[in-house]
Amino acid sequence: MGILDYTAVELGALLKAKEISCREILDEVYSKISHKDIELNAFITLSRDKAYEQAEKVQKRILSGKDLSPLAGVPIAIKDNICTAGIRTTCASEILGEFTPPYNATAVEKLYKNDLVIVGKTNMDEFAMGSTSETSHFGAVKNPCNLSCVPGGSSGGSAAAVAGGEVVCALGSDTGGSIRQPASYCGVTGFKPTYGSVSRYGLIAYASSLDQIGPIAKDVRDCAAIMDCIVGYDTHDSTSLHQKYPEFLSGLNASVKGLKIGVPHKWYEKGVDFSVKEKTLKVAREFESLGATVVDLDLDFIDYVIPTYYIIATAEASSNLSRFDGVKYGYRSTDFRTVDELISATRSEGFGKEVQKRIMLGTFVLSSGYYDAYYKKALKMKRMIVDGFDRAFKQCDIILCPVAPTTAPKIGCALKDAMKMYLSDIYTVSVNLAGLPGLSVPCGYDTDGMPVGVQFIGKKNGDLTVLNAGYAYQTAFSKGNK
Amino acid sequence: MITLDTVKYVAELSRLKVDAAFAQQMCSELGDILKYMDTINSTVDTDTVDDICKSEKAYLRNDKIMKSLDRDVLLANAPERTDETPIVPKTVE
Repeated sequence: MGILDYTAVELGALLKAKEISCREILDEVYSKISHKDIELNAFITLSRDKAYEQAEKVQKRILSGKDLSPLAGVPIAIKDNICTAGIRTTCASEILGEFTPPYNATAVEKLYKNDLVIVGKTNMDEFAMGSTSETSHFGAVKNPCNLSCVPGGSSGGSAAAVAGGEVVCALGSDTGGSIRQPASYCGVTGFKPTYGSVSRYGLIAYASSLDQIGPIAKDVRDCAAIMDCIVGYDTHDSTSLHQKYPEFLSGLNASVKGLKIGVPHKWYEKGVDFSVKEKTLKVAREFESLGATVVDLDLDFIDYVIPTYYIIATAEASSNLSRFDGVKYGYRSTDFRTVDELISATRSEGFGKEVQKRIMLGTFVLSSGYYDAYYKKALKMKRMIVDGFDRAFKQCDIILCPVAPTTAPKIGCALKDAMKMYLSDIYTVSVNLAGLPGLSVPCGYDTDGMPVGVQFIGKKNGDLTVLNAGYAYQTAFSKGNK
Repeated sequence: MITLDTVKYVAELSRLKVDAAFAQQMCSELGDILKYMDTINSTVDTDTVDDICKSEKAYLRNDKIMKSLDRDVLLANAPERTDETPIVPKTVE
């Protein structure tokens, strides 16, 4: 078994037992990246010097016998919209230029405190706006399962790096499915926590009421171990929840006896590929064999989740991205005479077309004369979605559904039809709108051998219940994506 | 429906320069998206629904002065700078 065939938790145990060193693992990671990343393009920046420096410090701590985190010494990749002090952070955009953050995101700080080693920054859709990781200024990411297919997005680089065996785990971010969908397309496990569980301080914002940082890894145990490192209240994030969290890794027990699983069968009536329908509904039957009960749910808000999401997300994005103006950091155009020209030239040259489109859409729905018809209406539809989930969770403990209507499409196809691309987010966006936890777990393959993912959605703060359901499934029926 | 003039106005509000071709493309693409949204929005009755913001509780921190980052560190990323500030073209005549 190769070093990178282990899971993150397994590697942590080998390190603790001194059967392997941090340096050996890093050597293997960078060797793998040097061979594979020419094909995958999963990384934008590698932080070799910092990584080896960190590895040496952690190795000393391991050898000293200190009681360290289960993931001490484990290498991890970070999506490039998460600030890492001293390591260039680009959001896969030209407009950030050579921006090097002077501070760590809180989630990154917590990884350092738990002695993980950051190997580099992963590629993504520009400013997290996309579902395919094709809109990056640094070129498209490829799916390791089929290089002619997209890895999904926007955390496509993180998912591809794990699925391609370059790293054992990564951080991504999820605003409308950007962890869960690439995890599904690449055949790995991805988790979006309850909104407010993981600090957004240092996560370069797309839509502040929807964004969450979360893990992408080989299996649920690894996701749980990473969650233990990164959750918690943060004074820097006013949306961070004031509460204690369970221990996720030690809380996994693989028992789902008595668990009520809601399946919204109407969501399967149209638009879902046969393989996705077959494989995800099979998971429901498999849970019944483990002692869970399946109940049918009627979640009729599915019809309006997409306009609700795209109105709210783009409105927030138009505000969040107004800070990128060439004044204090990043790229600055040379084609200007006045400050106004500096700002508009910089933004027009620095942002890609999809980002500009979403900024304009967001500005439009907030503008005078349209605010009530679009933005205010969308806020009310968001309320209806929250209420719809509240009613559903009176009947069940978790909801099971597809992550996406299809498996990974071919590179170049999705961008030709923007509406079709947006509609592919139909099963993921409602989870962000309601601030709920969502897990994507591999559950099989289609007839072309492309991975299918099943999604588990939990009630607010039901993260451990969701993770445990995924763990139970992987323990009984698959081994994640080792 | 979104017109070319509206696209140009929205672009100006967004501080984006759009050439004729991109403006036309946006007119078409944004038009499609808004048409879809209009269709869905018209079928959803929200008259008796509270919007989400009214239900959220805000936690405030104490009004305490805390150390921030050093000026030099913050200015290190500026495209053009003095010792104390970024440099931009004159804003006031």
